[in-house]
Amino acid sequence: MIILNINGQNVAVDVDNDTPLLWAIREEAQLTGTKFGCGIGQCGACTVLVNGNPMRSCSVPASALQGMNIETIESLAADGSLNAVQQAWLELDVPQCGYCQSGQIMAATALVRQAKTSGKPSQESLEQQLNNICRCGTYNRIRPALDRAFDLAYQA
Amino acid sequence: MQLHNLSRRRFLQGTAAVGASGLLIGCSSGPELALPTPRQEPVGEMHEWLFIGIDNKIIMTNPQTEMGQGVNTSLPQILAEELDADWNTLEVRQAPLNSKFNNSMMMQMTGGSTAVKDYYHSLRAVGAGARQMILKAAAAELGTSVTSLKTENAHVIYQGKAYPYGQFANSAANLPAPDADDLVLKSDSQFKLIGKPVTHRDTHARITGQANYGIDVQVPNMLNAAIVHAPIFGSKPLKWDEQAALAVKGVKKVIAIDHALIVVADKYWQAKKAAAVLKASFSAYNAAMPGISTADINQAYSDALDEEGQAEVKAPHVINVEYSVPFLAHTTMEPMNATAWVQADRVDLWIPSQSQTVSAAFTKAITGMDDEQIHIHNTLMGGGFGRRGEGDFVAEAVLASMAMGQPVKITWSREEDVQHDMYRPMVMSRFQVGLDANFKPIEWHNQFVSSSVMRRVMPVLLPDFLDWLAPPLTNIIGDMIIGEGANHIAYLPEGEKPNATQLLVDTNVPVGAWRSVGHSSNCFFTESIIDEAAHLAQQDPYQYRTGLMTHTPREQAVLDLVAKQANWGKAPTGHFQGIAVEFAFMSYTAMVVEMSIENNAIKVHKVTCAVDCGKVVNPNGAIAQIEGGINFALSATMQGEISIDDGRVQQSNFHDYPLLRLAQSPVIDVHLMPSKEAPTGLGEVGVPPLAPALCNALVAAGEQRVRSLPLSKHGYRLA
Repeated sequence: MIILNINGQNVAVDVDNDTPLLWAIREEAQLTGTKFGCGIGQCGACTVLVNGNPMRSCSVPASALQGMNIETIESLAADGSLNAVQQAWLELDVPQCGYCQSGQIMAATALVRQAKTSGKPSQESLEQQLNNICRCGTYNRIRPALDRAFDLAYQA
Repeated sequence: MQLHNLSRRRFLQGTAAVGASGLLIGCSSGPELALPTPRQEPVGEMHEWLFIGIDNKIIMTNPQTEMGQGVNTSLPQILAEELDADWNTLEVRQAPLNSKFNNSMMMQMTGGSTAVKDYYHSLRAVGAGARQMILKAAAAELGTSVTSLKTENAHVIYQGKAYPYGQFANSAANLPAPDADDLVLKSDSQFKLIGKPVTHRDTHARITGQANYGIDVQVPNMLNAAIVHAPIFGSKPLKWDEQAALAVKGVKKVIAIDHALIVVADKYWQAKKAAAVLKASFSAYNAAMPGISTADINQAYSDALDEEGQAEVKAPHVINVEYSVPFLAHTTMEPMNATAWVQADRVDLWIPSQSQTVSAAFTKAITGMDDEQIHIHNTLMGGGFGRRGEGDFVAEAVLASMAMGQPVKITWSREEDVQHDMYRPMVMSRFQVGLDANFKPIEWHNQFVSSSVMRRVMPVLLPDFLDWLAPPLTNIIGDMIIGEGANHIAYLPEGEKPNATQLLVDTNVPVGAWRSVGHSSNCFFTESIIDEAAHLAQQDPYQYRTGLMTHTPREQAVLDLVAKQANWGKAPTGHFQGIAVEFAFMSYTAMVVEMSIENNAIKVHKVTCAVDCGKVVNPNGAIAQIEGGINFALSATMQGEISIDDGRVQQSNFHDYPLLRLAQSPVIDVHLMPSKEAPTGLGEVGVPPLAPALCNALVAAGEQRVRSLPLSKHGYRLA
C-alpha cells in the first residue's frame, strides 16, 4: 500500500512497486481523465504534473512518487472555472477527438505557470517543449491557443 | 423540396405515447420508413430521431457516432435549426443497433465522409415536421391559428408570451405527421445555426477530463484484460506459461482464442504485467500464402504488373512511370479497446466503434444471438480514421466475456495496435500517359496493383452462404475502395476517360479503410504525374492545370481560389510551392504547400487549402477537419511506413512509427467555397492532396521527382 497525493488529497493505493503512476491514477484513484496512449513516454497523453513539472505518468512507477504533489486534469477546473489554458483551448475550440488533450493541457499549464518566474519562452522553444502527439492534428489551433493562454494568465 | 432517399408520401411517423410522456418522431434515411413504436419512456434505447418531453426536455438520437469529426455538433445543428430547439439544452445520444438508422452504405457505419451528406435533408425534415406538429397542437390549445404563432428556443411565442414545446408535446403526438409535401423548411437566409461556426458540443468535457471514451468504461463486476496477438499474420498460439501469468497478483485466467492470448485480471496493469511473462510461442508463418516481407510483396506486385503489360501509346510525348505507396497504420490516439458482457439472453457492448452493424455481425457469429439481444452502447472515440469500422477488437471482448461469465474490457497496448491493424494497402501503379504536341494529356493508361480491402470485408457483411463470393466478385468488379479516384482525371479532353486496370494480389497482411482510402494513393499518383507533364511542357504547374480544366468548373474554381489565397508564384525567397487538386467524396479540394529545404530537412511553412463541399453546416468543424487531415497526411507523407518481414510488422510504437508534432506542423489556411449545392463529403478530403503538393514543391525546390513514399525513405526528414 502506498500513499499518493493526487490533486491535494492523499489516496492509498494498493499496487505493486512497479505499477506505473498512470495506472494507479486511472485504476486506483479512479481518475480517468489521464489517458493511456503509448506506454513508452512518447506521446504524452498521460502527462500529469509532479511538483509542478510535466511528467509522462506511463513511464514512472507510482511508488517513486510518494509525498510528491501530483496534479491531474481533473484538478484544473475543480472549482468550476477553467484555467487559462483550458479557457484558451475552449476559445479556439482546439479538441477534435480530445483524447490527447488532457496531456496537452497539463503540459501547456506547466509552461504557462513556469513563465511566472522565468518569463515567456520563445515561440520556437514553446513548440519544442509542447511535444505531445495529437493524431487528429489539432496543432494549427494548439499554436494560437497556447499564445492565448499566456495572454489570459498574464494580462493583468 | 426533394427528400433524400425518402418516400414522399409518409416520411414522418409521429406516435402518441401511452400516458403522459411526450412526442416521439422519426424517419429513416434508408429506403423504408421508420415506424417508431409507441413507448412510455424515451430512456434506455430510443429508436427515434427526436423526443420532446412534457418537461420540454428534447433528446436527439444521433445516427452517426462521434470520433472527433464533429458529428455530435453538425448533425444536431441541422435538426435544431428546423425545430427551433434550444441549442444549450438539447441532449444528444448515440444511436443503438437498429437498421432503421442505416445510412447510404446500407448499414450503420460512420465513415466514408457521409454524415452531413446523408442526413442533411432527413434531419431537416424531422426538425421541421416536429415543429409543425407542435405548432398545430399549440394553435388548437391556445385557440388561435398557426400563422399567429412563432417559435424560438424550444418555445411557442404567442402574444408576447413563451410556452414551452413540452406543454404541447402530448397533443402533438396525437396528430398525424405531416406529409413531405406539407413541410415548410426555412430558407437559407433564415438560418441561425446551419452555416454558422459552432463550438463542438463535447469541447468542455474534453478539456476537463470528463469525456468518456471506450477505454474509460466502468461496468459493475468488470474484469480487465490485455491481449497478445500472434505476431505473424495467420499464425496461432501454440504454447505459453500459464502458471507464470497466474502467479501475477490479480490475474484470473489466460484465454486462448484462434489468433491470440487474452490475459484477464482484476486490473489492467496486472493483466499487462502477466502478458509480459507468458513466453508464448506461436505457429510458424503459413508458407502457402505469398507476401512474407515487403520485398516479397513488391516482387509479387511487379510480377502482376509485368504479366498485365502496358498500353502502347503513340502520342507525340509519353510519360511512362511507376509510383508506389507503403502500408500505413491508423494509430488512433485511443488504443483499441472494447467492453463486452455476454449473458444467457443478451449481449451488452460498450464500444468506441464506427459501426454498430459490423460489431453486431461479429457478435452474432460468435454468440448466435439476434439483433434484438445485442445492446450496443457507443462511447466517444479517441479517433477512428477507419480503424474502428472493424469488428476484430469487439469480437475478442465478446469471446473473453463468454469465457469469464462476466463483463470484460480488453485494452490493447500500442504495440498490439501498431502490429495488428487493418492497414492502408501497399499500392504500386504504372502509368503510360500520352501528351499531344502541345503537351496536353490525350491518353491516360494506368495499371495498379494492391491487395483487396473488399475481399476481406465482404464476408463479414454477407450471409454465411455467400462467403465464397468475395474473391470472384472482386476479380470481376475490382475493389472500388482501393480504386477510388483512379477513374477521374480532370485533365483529359472532355468526355475522355482514363483507362485504369486494377489488379488484386492476396497477401497475408490485413488491409482496410484508412482515412481517404483509395484517394490517399491515387491522388498522389495523378497529381504528381500531371506535375511531371507540366514540367515537360515547361509550364507553370498551376497554369497548366487550370488551362486543362475548363470542362470541370467546380474543380477549376477551387484550384483558382487556392492559387490566389496562397499567393501562388510569389513565395518568399528560399520558399517553394507545390500544388494539387482532387475530386473525392463528391467534393472538390485544392491545396498549395509552401516549404523550404536545407540539408534534406524539409520545413513545411504553410498549407493553403480551398474546399467546395457544397453547403457547410459548421464552418468551425469543417475547417478543423481539413486542418487535421493535412497534418494526418503530412505524418504519412514524410515518415509513414509499415514494413513487413518474416510475416510480421516491424514497427511497434511511436518511436519507429513517428507522428507529426507541434514544432513540425505547418500554419494551415483553409478557405471554404460559398455554395448553394447540397452538402458533400468533408472529413477525409484534406488528406489526399498533401502528399503530391509537397512532392511537387520538392521538385520546384530543385530536388528529384519522388515517386514512392514516404519521403524519409529518400533521405528527407522534417525540420
